[in-house]
Amino acid sequence: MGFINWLLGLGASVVLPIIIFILSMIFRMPIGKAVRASLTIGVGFIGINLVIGLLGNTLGPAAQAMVKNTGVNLPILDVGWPVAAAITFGTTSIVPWVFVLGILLNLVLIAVKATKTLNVDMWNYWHFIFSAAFVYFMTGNFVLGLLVALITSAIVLKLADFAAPVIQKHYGIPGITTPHLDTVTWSPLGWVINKGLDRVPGIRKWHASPGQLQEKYGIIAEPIIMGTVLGFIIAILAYYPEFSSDLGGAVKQILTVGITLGAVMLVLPRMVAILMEGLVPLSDAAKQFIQTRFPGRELYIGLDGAILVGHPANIAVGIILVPITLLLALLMSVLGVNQMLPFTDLAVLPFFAIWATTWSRGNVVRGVIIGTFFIACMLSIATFLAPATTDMAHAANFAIPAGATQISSIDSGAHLAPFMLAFGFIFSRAAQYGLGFQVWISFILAFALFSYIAYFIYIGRGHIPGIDDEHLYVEASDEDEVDIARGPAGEDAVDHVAVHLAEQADSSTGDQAAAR
Amino acid sequence: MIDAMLDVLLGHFWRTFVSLYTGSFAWFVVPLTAWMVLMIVARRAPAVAESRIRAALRALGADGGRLSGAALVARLQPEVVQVALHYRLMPSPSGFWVRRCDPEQLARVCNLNPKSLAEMRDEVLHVSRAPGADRTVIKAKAAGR
Repeated sequence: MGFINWLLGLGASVVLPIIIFILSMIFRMPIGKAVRASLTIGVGFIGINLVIGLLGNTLGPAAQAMVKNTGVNLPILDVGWPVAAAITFGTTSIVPWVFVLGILLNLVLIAVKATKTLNVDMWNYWHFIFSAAFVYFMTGNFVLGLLVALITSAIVLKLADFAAPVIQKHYGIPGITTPHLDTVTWSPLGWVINKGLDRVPGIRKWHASPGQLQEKYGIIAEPIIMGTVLGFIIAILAYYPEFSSDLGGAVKQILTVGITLGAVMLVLPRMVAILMEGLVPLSDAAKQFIQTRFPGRELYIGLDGAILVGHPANIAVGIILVPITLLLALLMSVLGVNQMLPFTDLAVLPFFAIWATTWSRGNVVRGVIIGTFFIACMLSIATFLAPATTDMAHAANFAIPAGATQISSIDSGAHLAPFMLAFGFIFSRAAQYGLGFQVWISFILAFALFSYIAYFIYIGRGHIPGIDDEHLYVEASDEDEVDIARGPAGEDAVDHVAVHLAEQADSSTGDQAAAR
Repeated sequence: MIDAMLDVLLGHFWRTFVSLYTGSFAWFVVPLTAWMVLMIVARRAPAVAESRIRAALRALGADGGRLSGAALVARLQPEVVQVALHYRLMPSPSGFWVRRCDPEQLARVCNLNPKSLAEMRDEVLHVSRAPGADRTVIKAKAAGR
């Protein structure tokens, strides 16, 4: 336990380069290249977190001011994921078990070819620990808690495997995936809803990724301008009550939020590019190492979802979701299916936008629709988990903020897979929230189960989600579609591709020969 | 609250950076805005070039499917050269600053290389290929034709 705390205490910016360096050495990278890759990844990681910190410190207060403007007070306070993580690491009886068994499970699953993902993101093990802890606190059964955490870990690794092709293609990060529990467990639901939206007239043909918007609307849809405008709107909604008392201060706040969010849109993708500069040689080395020793096998490096947040679509959807989350919380509290006041985690909504936008290749409109559904589910699950989270906080000697009777967080509500696994054991707890809540939470579970089954069946039939259907999302309009099944001379499209592949093979053979 | 976790991830130095930024925002607002405007202007060249490349790929239609990546580069290079002649600035390789727009650098920023162009062509013409996988799925085939 002491060693784990010491290791985590060093900080990701120190430990991640060390882990990457060790991995690079295992993958037989030249030492100079390994040092450069490790340091570049460290720098990229610091840069990403610095910009996310800036985003949180700008968007967070604005979102919280919006909450105050509503004048609503709900009994459960959203204390945010960092507090949930801190409380989780305070549950000392569980931490070492999940850490050691989780890492062992990952290695065993790779050895038996059950997964291709090596999860090097140790900080996010807190999600698995949290999963074990809430089941333990709700049922009093330690073994059940541990079992839920380990099964969750296996599910997350598998989901990361399935998500890898679309992540690598859409975000352009080779050899990487994100076994990040609170984001990737929503990928099957996002996939199913996105498929549903393919059948909705109007939305079906509405292509709205930042690139497509830019092509259509030019400079107005430039991510920097989009971020700035969205920032101004959020800030005006947050600080308008100050117009009468302190106009200068309000204008300053609005300028700060608007310009900062614009700058974040510009800087965050660059930081991810720096990280990638270090990751690409590592991924190449891993590929070479695996192919030499285990022909036909692949290995993905599992990292935090933060590396995907930098995409302009995710930031844009995350910002748009702030007022939507507040409205949802109010509406759902009236309907009796939510008791949590969103607060701290409003600043990290871009994380939850990842699997709302990725399947449609960054379609902002679809991202907002899917993200709204995600948030509605998360608010209810967070409400459901609030008593357990509060008990855990008491056990970890965490002081509950004044005015709140219970605590939880949107991120806690994002722990979908453990919630599904433990639902049967903890459902009776839902009775205290009334019949409406029971019906809604049962619907969430049923829909999640349906989505997972549909997703696994699709993959089981040999499809690659997000790749086989990408033609639906990557182009501007159906009118522009080119039917390549029959060329002008009547040749079959397969022949075209075969010709193309043969040409590529020829050229690469030629290149290799030239290199020799 | 996010602050506590960033302390663990990065140490305390980030707080100095963020508090300097938020506390003295008046000092940052003008240079930051000027920088952003400059970057918006510089990003026009690659945005327009990419848009023209996509339009040219669409115009190639079915014939495009038969061209190799190298042939596509040769076919589309003039589009990029035209854009480069029209614009003065483009982003520097790091993406944090600007440089004079020239065809060679613009081609690099737009990934005008055989592999990327072949991928872009596949996107535009709806030929889908999983990264690293040796399989081809064509929209027409998926539709059952």
